[in-house]
Amino acid sequence: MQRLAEIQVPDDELRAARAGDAAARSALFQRVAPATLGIIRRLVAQRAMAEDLLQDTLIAMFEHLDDFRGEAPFGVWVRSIAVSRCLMAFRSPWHRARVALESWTEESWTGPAEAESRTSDLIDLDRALAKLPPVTRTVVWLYDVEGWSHDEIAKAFDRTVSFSKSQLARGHARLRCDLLPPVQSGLGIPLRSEFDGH
Amino acid sequence: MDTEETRDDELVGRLKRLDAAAAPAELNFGYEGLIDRHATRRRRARRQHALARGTASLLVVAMVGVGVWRFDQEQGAQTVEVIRPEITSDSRATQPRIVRADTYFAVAALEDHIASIDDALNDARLGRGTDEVARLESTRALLVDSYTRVRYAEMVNANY
Repeated sequence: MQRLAEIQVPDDELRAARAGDAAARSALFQRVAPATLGIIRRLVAQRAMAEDLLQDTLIAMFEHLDDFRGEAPFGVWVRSIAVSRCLMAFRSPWHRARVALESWTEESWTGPAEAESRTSDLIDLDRALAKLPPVTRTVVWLYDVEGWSHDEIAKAFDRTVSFSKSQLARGHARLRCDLLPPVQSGLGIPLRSEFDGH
Repeated sequence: MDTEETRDDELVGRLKRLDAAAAPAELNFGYEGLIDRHATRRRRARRQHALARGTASLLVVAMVGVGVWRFDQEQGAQTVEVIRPEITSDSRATQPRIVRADTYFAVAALEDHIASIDDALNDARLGRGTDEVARLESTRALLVDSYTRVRYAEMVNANY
């Protein structure tokens, strides 16, 4: 699957979409929607919530097409909208209550359906990633995979750079702890639920 | 430290492989579906807004009605006996003592503070003496204790 940040849109298609052409908008949807849902699903575990956020993101994208200045690939712009919508959802009291409830009930892992086709180490990693608290998972994914800097993450979360570094270190420690056998995981096991669900 | 960095690099490599191996996410709706969903949500929001406005209007009418009725009652009464509630130490004890306030900023400030202490602890463990580490650890323990209390209060508030 093409990464969202690498998606480019031809100028004529963009111009037609800006003018409100339904076919061009539909083509734009087809071009960015799967990758956008992919990144949202990485940050938000629940499928229904991810689809709501995808809807918010794409509606915001269509409403603000005129604001896209073309300085970066189109996908990077869409990605920033998607991440910002996810962070807004994390701040909502409803989401926090839901996460608190889920941590009580210890819901089973609901990872992407394509997991079976991958190697077992990736399935384990996917599972471990899904077990991280949403904020920690987001910081880990944005820093390690999407290539954001600590400054960018801190700005997106409206927090300090220390917050980003600390969340990343905690996320790595918990992933290592989950992925390695107990003997190898060694020191540095974090406090289990210090930042859970926030 | 090197070992930890190596393990981090390995972890990052695996995360990137996980991203590369991901199959395209299946969409449950297309462009038309998106527009429909958006329209449905807007309709629902408008309906809820109208319902809220109707309820508010009803409440205002009811309050005005009760006010007018009480005014009529007072006009008709010859004598009005004023009963002042006696305030005793027992009744004071039943007054609410919990002030509800949004905890978002408190939680955020505590998390930031804990994060900065974590940073300082990392530095202190590398270069400074054990006194500094002990001092920072005790500060961190206090902060984590406060943090746990606030989160517990939030959780209780959210669930009950």
